[in-house]
Amino acid sequence: MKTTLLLALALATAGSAHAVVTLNSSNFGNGLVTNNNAALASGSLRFGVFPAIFDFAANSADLSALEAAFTEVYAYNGAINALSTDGFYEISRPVDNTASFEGQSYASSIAGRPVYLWVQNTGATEQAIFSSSVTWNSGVGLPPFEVNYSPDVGVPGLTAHVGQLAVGPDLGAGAPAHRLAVVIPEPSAGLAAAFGSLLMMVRRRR
Amino acid sequence: MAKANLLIVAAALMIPVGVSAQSTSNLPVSRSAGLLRVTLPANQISLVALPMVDRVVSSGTVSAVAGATLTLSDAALPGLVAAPHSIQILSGAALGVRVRIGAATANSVTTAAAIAGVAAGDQYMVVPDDTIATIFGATNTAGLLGGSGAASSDEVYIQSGGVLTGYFYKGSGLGGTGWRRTANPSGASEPNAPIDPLTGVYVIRKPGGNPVSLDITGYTVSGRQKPTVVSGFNILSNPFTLPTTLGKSNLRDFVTGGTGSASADIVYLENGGVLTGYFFKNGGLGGTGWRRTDSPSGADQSGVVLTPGKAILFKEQAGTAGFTLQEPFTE
Repeated sequence: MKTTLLLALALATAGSAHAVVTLNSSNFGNGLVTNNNAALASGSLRFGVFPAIFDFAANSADLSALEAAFTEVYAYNGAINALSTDGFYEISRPVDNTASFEGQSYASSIAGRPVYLWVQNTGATEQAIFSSSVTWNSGVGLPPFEVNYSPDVGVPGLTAHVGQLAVGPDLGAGAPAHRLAVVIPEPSAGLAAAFGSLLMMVRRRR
Repeated sequence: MAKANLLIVAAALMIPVGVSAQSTSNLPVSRSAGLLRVTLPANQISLVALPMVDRVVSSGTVSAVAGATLTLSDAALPGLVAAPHSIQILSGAALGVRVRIGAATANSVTTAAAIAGVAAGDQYMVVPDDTIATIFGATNTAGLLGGSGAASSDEVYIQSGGVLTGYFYKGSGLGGTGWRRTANPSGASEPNAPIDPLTGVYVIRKPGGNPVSLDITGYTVSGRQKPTVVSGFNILSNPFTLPTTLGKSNLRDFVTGGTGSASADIVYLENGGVLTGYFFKNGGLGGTGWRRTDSPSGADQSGVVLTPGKAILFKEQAGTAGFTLQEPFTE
């Protein structure tokens, strides 16, 4: 999945209408495991922003609420297997700082805000959400226009809003992996499902 | 590799060291003098190092230390404040530190903050600091593209007091001519804006300008160099006129490494107008070594050359703030 990208930071970049910020991200310091401590071999890595004030604890099981709050700038879906080792990824890709993402202008609504990484396993039954003090580079002013984001222990401000930091097994990084949390359905959703099942049973008996 | 845009025209003319009459010994002040010609292509960014000093106005030993005030063996110091000067410590625990002089008497200098580790008996030298005028000329004799505003002019970023500040040469329009801040084009001309010791210059050349070459002359400086760095970006001069590499520089011992580019300090090197970021990967999956920020699992970058005449854009973002360059192949 590695994308090699030269930082073409010539002046033309700054002056053109189609400017570029480079998102570099890797997690070689810890790695990721599922809730049962298996290396996360595949899933999605979603980079974007959440609102400055958002109650992750109250909404961690409400995927629709999370989706509504999240503005996605870039998403990767597929194998999480950098250096042929499950649980690790490496990304380097351009982000158009003149574009809008989910209706939000990068320049006016995303640049300068903290980078969030929303990790989900395949099927989105488990997830983790991280942020740190790293913010989205505006791509304006003095190059380099890079966002260097790593959810590794030691990164200033690293926080797991959902999931747990460094509680899993060592996947080869020499440090414990971060662990995803199971998405537990809300009680109301569970009740609705149970009620639906009950109705179906009643209908079959009739 | 892009075409090298830097020529060492006369890397060492081998002019004997011409320290001032106050020199008291054969201090490791400089070994040669020379000229570096740095070309600044139009429509390109360039990081320019300022590796030489114009002259050594005083050298000797520190007689006493009282906070940020150093009493020096030279009892006949010239004026050191009207034009910016710095003191560099040449021995002892503070070896390599060069900081600006804020106040001076006939035999003492005071810096903004106490120099950690300096002690009586340490050797020192005092040198003039560069300004925009000493590099580009008070009236832009270097020939950068000047205009009525920053948007139509080449821009020069310097580090002054730890702050990156942009300037351009206002060559036309209402308000006269001169070196103006990009953020305040109607402000006063600041040709004497001082450039922090051991830092360089970041030049953004716009399309359409004439070819520009800078001849950087003076005395080369030996021994390790330890600029003051602040959190965030620093334009640090490569203080040496010999090339070295990331690996041979031992820079890894003086910057903070990490498992990824977010937990390590980053060294950006410019080549042909392209900035490439490097960090020292000190652990995690994939081993250790110098890596590109866009390829932390890629090949070791220890062989990347630190080119004379090219400044280093250093992002201090992890661990204790600090940066030291050793003189190539001498330590």
